Amino acid sequence: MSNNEFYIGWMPKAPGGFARHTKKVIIALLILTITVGVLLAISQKKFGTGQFEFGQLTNITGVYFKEPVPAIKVMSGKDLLGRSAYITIPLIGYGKSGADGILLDLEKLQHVDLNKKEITLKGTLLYNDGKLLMQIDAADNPLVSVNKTAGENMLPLQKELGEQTIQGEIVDPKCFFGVMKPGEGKPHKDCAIRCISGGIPPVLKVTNKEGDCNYYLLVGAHGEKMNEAVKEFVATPVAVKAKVVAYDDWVILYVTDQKGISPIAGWQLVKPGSQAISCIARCIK
Amino acid sequence: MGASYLAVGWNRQKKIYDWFIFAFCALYLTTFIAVTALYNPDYTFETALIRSTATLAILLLHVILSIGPLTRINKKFLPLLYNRRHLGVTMFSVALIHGSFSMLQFHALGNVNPFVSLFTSNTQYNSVSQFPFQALGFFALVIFFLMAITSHDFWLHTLSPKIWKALHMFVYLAYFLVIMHVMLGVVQYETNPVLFVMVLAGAATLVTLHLVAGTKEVRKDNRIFKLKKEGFVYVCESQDVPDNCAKIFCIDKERIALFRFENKLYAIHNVCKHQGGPLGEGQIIDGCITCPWHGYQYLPQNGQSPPPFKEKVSTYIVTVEGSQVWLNPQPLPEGTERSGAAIIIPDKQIIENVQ
Amino acid sequence: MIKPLRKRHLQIWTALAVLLPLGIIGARIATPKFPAQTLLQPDAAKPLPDILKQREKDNYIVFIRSNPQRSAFQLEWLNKNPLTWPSATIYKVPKGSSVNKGILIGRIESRGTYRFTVDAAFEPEKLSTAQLILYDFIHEQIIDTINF
Repeated sequence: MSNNEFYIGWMPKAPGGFARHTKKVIIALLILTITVGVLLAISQKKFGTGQFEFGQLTNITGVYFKEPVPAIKVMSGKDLLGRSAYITIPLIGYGKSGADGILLDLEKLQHVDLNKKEITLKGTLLYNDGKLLMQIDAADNPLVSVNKTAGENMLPLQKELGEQTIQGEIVDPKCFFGVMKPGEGKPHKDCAIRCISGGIPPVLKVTNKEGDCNYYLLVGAHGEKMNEAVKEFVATPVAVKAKVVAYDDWVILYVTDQKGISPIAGWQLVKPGSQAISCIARCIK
Repeated sequence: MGASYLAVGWNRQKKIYDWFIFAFCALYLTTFIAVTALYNPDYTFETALIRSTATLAILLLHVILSIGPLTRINKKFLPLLYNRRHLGVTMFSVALIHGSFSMLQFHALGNVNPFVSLFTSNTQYNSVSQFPFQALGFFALVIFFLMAITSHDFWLHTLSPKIWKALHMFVYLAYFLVIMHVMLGVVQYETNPVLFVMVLAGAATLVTLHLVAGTKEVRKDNRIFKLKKEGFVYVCESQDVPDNCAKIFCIDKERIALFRFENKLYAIHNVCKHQGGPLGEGQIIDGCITCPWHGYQYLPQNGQSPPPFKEKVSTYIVTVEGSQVWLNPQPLPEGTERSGAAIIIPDKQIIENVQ
Repeated sequence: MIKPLRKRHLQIWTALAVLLPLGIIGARIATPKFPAQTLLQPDAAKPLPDILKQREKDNYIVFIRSNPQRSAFQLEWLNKNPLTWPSATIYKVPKGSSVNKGILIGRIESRGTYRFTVDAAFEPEKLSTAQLILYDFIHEQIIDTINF
């Protein structure tokens, strides 16, 4: 490039030296663009295997249980030794809401108490890693039929596993088991809080050294909802002190009290629950 | 340079520039989404879109922020500066797609308004790892939005260059917010260090470029002019100023460009009225001082843009004594006409030139 | 640019030269680590010592186990990857028959090892006329068929 060359943007062509340099810059940017795109894409954490059958409605017949969380228990039969194969499907609502409201409306509308009755529900399935949930939406007329009250053999099998402290991450099961990827961790934290705040039952995701996972439903000491209480512990490592009960194919954690959930490590500028923070939180709200 | 405002004053180079922006964005998005789909058959398109637009916007932001210092270090980068605003608006548009989809995905269909949800879902402002990172991204997007809607020259003139520049310097705050949005957001989740290393490398590159270019400019500004008399300052020898070009002197906190045109010396304020470009790094084309940034032009005799254009810059009085050039740093009102100081060419040099 | 603006640029970038590394490295250090925890499920029985048969698939490995006396049998199902079906139950059926004629063995859930006590019909000689079917009873579809 001659020292006298001068670039003016509104001229039809750039001087030779500028044009040659710009070409080199374009090639460098091209390499940068592809490199960054490929590296960032392949370095992403593996997407979960969750499935959400969006737009596909399925009829499920089973026994509805209101507690500990709204769920429908579906039998597939018994083996030669008399053991049952069944699946308990927790119910959730449309969007970021629980199913309680819809079920209450259905009960009022039909003048019937659905608890422990065999019913057929129509909804959207979502599932991952052996756990199945069903979204019911008032717009889909989810209650197909109400049959008889279930027999004793359909009542949940409960096995007390004592009081334990279990470490894991609180997730909202709707996103985690199918609707979003990732449905866990910091990027999803706000959404999980919104879902749990909307009534979706919180789940503790527990991982062992091999990377295998278990998922336990969280309720209060007496089976009451504790959605509001768990909000500040979502998507962060926590230790949960709870009475553990195997409740059919789900494990239920009856959290001992409000202090039964505590964060593990992490930098805190101010102690959680301090007056300064609750004041800031109130101001923001 | 315009006497009236058009949405975009298109010309060939702007069109080429914009085609390249479009092609690069399309290439990046395609690459990211295709590789994601290839490596992750279980991917969801919403997440791929949110992530591809996020990373593209950050890549564009790094390019945008490096153009300024690069042009100060090497003038050959000037073609990248010429249409940088379109790059900025593109970056905002891409970031807006990321922000909108994230709002839909994470905050819509809840029990409160999505914008209320954005600020009230996570209130752990006391924690580092749990800090509500989405709010940081939101504020950065607001800054980019204000910059994008005021990017047109109409706003530059309406707001005044001082306010406009001050507003647009908020891009540095936005950059910091974006980096922390990434670090306190997705980096808290991803286990592969690639993203962390890239963020660190990007920040290190930008800091280095800006500090190198900035200190280079400071050295120019800190030159001390010792010889003074009757309000004039000795600046250089007349032969030091190349023909149709300028030398820049920073006297009393102001940069003055001393141009040589038809063997006369003219001094004008170094700052272009358009976007503050360094006029002294420009050249005289067709008898007009031409700004290296966007080609705005001024007549050396009076610092005025040739009609019908109306921009004016301050002018200064220059005298030549022998070979010494003396400059009065007191600015004359913008657009004041004064005669150029004729360069006295020694007889010996004339003879040499004739021979 | 005017001199104060240049100065402000330099001041901002000097500040960023300090703040950016602090923010980036601080956030990286603060990244939470999720602790490992012993799982409660599946609550599998102890494995019988002898492996009589083994079949390996992409997502799972299936073993037929027995005691040395061949008086007790076990079907061990090592689930390597998360299931991507609503439900997964194992049936033993005569070769070529449908699930309706099968015997239910049990249900598979999350990743892990599952052990089901089975009867003498799982002796290797008898198994040649049977096959295992992994069945999704929610969608009523066969996921996989395993022959020994």
